[in-house]
Amino acid sequence: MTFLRPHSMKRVIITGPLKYRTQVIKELYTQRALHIIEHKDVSKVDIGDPHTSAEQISQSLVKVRALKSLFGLNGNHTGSKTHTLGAHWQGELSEIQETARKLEEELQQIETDFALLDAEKRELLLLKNFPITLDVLSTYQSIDHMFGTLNKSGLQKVQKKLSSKTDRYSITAVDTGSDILVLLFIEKSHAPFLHDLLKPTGFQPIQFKALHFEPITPLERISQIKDREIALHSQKKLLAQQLQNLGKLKGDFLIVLETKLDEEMKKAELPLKIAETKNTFIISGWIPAEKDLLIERRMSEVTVGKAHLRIMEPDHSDKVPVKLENPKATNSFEFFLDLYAMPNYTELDPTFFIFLMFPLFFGFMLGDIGYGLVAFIIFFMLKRFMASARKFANVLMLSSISSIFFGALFGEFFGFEEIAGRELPHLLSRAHQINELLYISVAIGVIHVNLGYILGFWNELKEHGFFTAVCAKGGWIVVEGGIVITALSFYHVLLLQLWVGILIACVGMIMLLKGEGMRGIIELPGLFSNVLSYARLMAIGLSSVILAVIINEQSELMIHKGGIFVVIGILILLIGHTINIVLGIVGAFLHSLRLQYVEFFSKFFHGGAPKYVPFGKTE
Amino acid sequence: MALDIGTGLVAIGAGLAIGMSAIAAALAEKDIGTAAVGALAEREELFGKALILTVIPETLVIFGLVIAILILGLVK
Repeated sequence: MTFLRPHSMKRVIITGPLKYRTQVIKELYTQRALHIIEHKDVSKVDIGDPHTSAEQISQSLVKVRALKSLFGLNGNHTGSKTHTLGAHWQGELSEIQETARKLEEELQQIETDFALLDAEKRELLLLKNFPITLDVLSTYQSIDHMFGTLNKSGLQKVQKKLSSKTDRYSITAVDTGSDILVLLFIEKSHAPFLHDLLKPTGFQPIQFKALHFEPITPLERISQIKDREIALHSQKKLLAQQLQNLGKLKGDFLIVLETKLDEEMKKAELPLKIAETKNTFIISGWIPAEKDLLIERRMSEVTVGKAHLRIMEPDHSDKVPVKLENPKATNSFEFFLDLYAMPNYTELDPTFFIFLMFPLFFGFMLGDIGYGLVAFIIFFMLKRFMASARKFANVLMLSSISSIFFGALFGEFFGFEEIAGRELPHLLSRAHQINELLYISVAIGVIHVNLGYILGFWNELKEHGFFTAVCAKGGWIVVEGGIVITALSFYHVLLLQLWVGILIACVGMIMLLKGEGMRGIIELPGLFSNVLSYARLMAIGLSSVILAVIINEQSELMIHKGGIFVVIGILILLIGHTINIVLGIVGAFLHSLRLQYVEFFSKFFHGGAPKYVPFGKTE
Repeated sequence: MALDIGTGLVAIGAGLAIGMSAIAAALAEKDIGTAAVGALAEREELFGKALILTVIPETLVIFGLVIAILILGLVK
């Protein structure tokens, strides 16, 4: 049964003259078979230099990514897969970049213009009630002017004092409500006097920075600015449209180019991971065992027989990368190993057992026909709209089917045990037969934990031989047997003396001591807590049912009251069941997962091997 | 319905069994959860292991529940 073991691998070391390096890398990329072991020990042989093209590729890649983000492109761009790259992609890329740069510059200029106009407008708004043209505010030889805010009493004081000194001045004041805006003209010779006069009155001068002194009134200028702004707006819209069109037109090109450059980059940078001397390169890695002849032949072809390949079976001390090999029906459950850890090369691949037990536990906990249907629809939609969540969605769709199945066994539909006055057929009622449910849960626990020991036996057999396997894993089963026999003798089900069972348990403990050392003895109480832990199958399910029943009872109560209460009743039903479904899915998922990882895996699984990632195109 | 005092005490016992084991689990899980979130911020691929370590104390509540059910079984 190949799917119970990781795929067989072979170690391969490719050595060859440096001038064939590029061809070899290209061929390895095409084959997509070699999991490269990074060369790290540089004390004897150094790592290689990246290909000369690497720098140029990375520059182009930066350009492409900048453009992609400018155009707001993502990987889901339509038709991107069918686009073929022309030979002159570099020219095309520069052209796009140049056009985009020009458009962007123009857009920036418009933004600057907007800011300037805005500043000018703010100054004009202060002047809009003054009966002047703007050119009077420019600088004169003999006349000085001042503009600012002043309070009422200050204004009167200034007027009085000024008229006592000279009559060659003019004051225009506009009341804005909170302050008085004042525009003063005065002969230059009297300007210092005016300054001194204004100082103690709290006069706040206002300087014009953005104003143009043209012979038009402030209001005329404001309307000019408004026209200009409208023109700029339409110009901006046009430029943005052009930029968007460019993105639409060249989107496919950019996305295909990015993928292509990514690939080239991988090839160009590979030398950084391999060993190189002055004239030779050494690539070391792992290939699936059946590809050894193919790789050997291809290497010999691309190097005209100049490359030397050494292919070896994995050694016991090797950290072999693991390639899981499950049939299509169960490979979605590899998701749980991706989440946790890869099994070691010599270990069993537990995916198949997770496939058997995970949906079973999930269904047992969320056993309701209605909830199962809703969960199924949710995860079916998830799979359709999120391709990356495929494995996860598959796992939960299967689990939802299991929920529907258990729902039928328990005779539950959204917590109702009867529909239209007729009781749903059931084998076991969760809400009423709690003790039976507890016994079943614990029984499932005993089976699951022992399955773990059996798998552990297999792993130990491969790793440490028959004797250790029997002692370390068989010991547990003997201890269990001893306990069961003792218990049965105690209750007179078996007509044996008590010491028979106790003796068997003691033999088991001695085996454990031999196989697992003191650790085995320390973990003995863990056996009980592990098995009892499966009581959660009952507990989670029970809480889900009882919550559903409460929701149904409350809403029924409301609906019977009639009137507005009918609406409230329906709301309770909808919101309550939504919350209960979410809680149910999360709870059932996490607890089912935990039973796999903690109670099951601890019996046989070590894990920690690197995942097999072949050098080549990413899927 | 009228309960005799014995039944009432049994109910209190069952409640205590669940409630106190839940508090114990919460206290344990609080510390593990804090450390797990810290570890996840450093290395996201630890998610699977962090999850397992975090949920380990949950078994305490299950024990509490089993005891509660056994205690309630006394009322017959």
